[in-house]
Amino acid sequence: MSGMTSFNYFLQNTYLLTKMRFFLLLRQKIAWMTGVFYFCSLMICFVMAQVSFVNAHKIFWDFAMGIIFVSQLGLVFYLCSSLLHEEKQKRSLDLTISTGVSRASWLAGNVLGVWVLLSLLALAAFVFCIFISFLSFEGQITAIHLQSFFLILAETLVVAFMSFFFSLFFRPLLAQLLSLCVLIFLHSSQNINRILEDPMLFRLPSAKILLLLSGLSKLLPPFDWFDLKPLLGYESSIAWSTFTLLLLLSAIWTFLLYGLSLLKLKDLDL
Amino acid sequence: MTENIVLSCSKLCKSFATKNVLKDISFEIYSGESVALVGANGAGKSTLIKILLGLVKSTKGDIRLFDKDISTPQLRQRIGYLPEIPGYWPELSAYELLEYMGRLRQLPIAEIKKRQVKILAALGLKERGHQRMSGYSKGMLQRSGLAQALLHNPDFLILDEPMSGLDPRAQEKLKIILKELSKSGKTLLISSHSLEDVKNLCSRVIVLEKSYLKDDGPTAEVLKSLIERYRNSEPWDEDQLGEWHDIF
Repeated sequence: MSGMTSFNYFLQNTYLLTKMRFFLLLRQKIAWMTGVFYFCSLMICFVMAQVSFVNAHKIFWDFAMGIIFVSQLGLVFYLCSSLLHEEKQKRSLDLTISTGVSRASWLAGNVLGVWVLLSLLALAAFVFCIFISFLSFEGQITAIHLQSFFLILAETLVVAFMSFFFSLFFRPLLAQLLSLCVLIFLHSSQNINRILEDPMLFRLPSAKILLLLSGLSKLLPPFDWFDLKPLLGYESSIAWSTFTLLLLLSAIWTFLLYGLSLLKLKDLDL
Repeated sequence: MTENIVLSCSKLCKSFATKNVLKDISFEIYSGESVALVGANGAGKSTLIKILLGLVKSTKGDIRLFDKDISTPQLRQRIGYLPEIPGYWPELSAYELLEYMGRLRQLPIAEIKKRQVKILAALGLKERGHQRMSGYSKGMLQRSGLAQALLHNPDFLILDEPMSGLDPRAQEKLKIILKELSKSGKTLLISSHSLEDVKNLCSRVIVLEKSYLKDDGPTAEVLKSLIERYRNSEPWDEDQLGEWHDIF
């Protein structure tokens, strides 16, 4: 302990907790089950693409990335919203905090542990898709594939902290449902904005609600910008500057949600 | 004397919503003391322990651990804690639990390896300690919990119902270990419902009753008045016992 700064202490504990959560999830067989699920579903995607008459390469990537995306978010909802409740029930939280680990470390370590495991699973599935794509469709892997994959990972990280944040106020199942609703809303932000641009709407009696929705959709992360799946299979990609900006935005939202969760967690009696 | 104070609580209060769980609790624990924390269910023992561990925040009052404010998380490195109902991570073995807890307590790997074998052997888990804890009995879990609490050779041990779930033989062994720890100069705070264990293990007793500190003094003296109150059927629990003759 001597000479160790608080920040180093925080980093070291966060690393240990991340490693531990990763290891526990591996032992819980979630990783293996997800791996098998990815393999089977990607093979189904492959068969579906094979039997299609046109643009098999695009169909394969559309479905494959869709499966990776939905699985990632489904798992992150489930795992992050039940983290605190599970640890409290097992009393393992008492034990961890009693060692001098701060709540900030506990939160960052556990959520990152979930995210690292899910990212590695997604990476394995993505590499498998590239392998199938090269072997069977002779399709080109372009920048858009990589961009789409990394934006899924960035979105997963934001959603991980969002699910945890909701679990501080509600039971895990309710937190999962709420995260899902918010995610759907954020994925339709462009559509909502388009609808809300209609001046006729603001003459309605419910204009105040519309105004609130409009404000919210501008403040919250517009996840539909992250969704590059419709572009897969075409000779197009987004500019690297836009891609970097989106990564930066997701990092800001992650820190924001981490900070908000920490504020509540620090005040919470465990 | 101040440098010998391990724990000092001054006018400690805790309330959850409208319920006061701890009211005006003040006491000090000195280095090398073995103190029992006694009280009925709901008296506030667990809340007090949770406050000491940083899991629950006190509403009012001042707590100092090793003469420093308790809000510093690193201070808890000097505490060994055994929870009341150990659940831990069923996916781990006792060896893995000790390694993890040792790393969190900043112990060097070589030191952890050396100490984990010794402690698990002393607690009868040398062989079965390699199996996953999902297959452990309550007693084995309790011993694993004690092993992790002792791993870093802490100055201050907080044991919440240490005898719970142990068979008579393991209880006797644990009593010997706790006496040895006390003799070696460790400070112990033991929360217990068993007055017999308190009598055997502790030199001082703190009694919590209806959220207040009711008694604090030498074991023999405090236990005598406590037993007297039991005999006089003075209700000390929030739930009073009903009549039995209608049942049998």
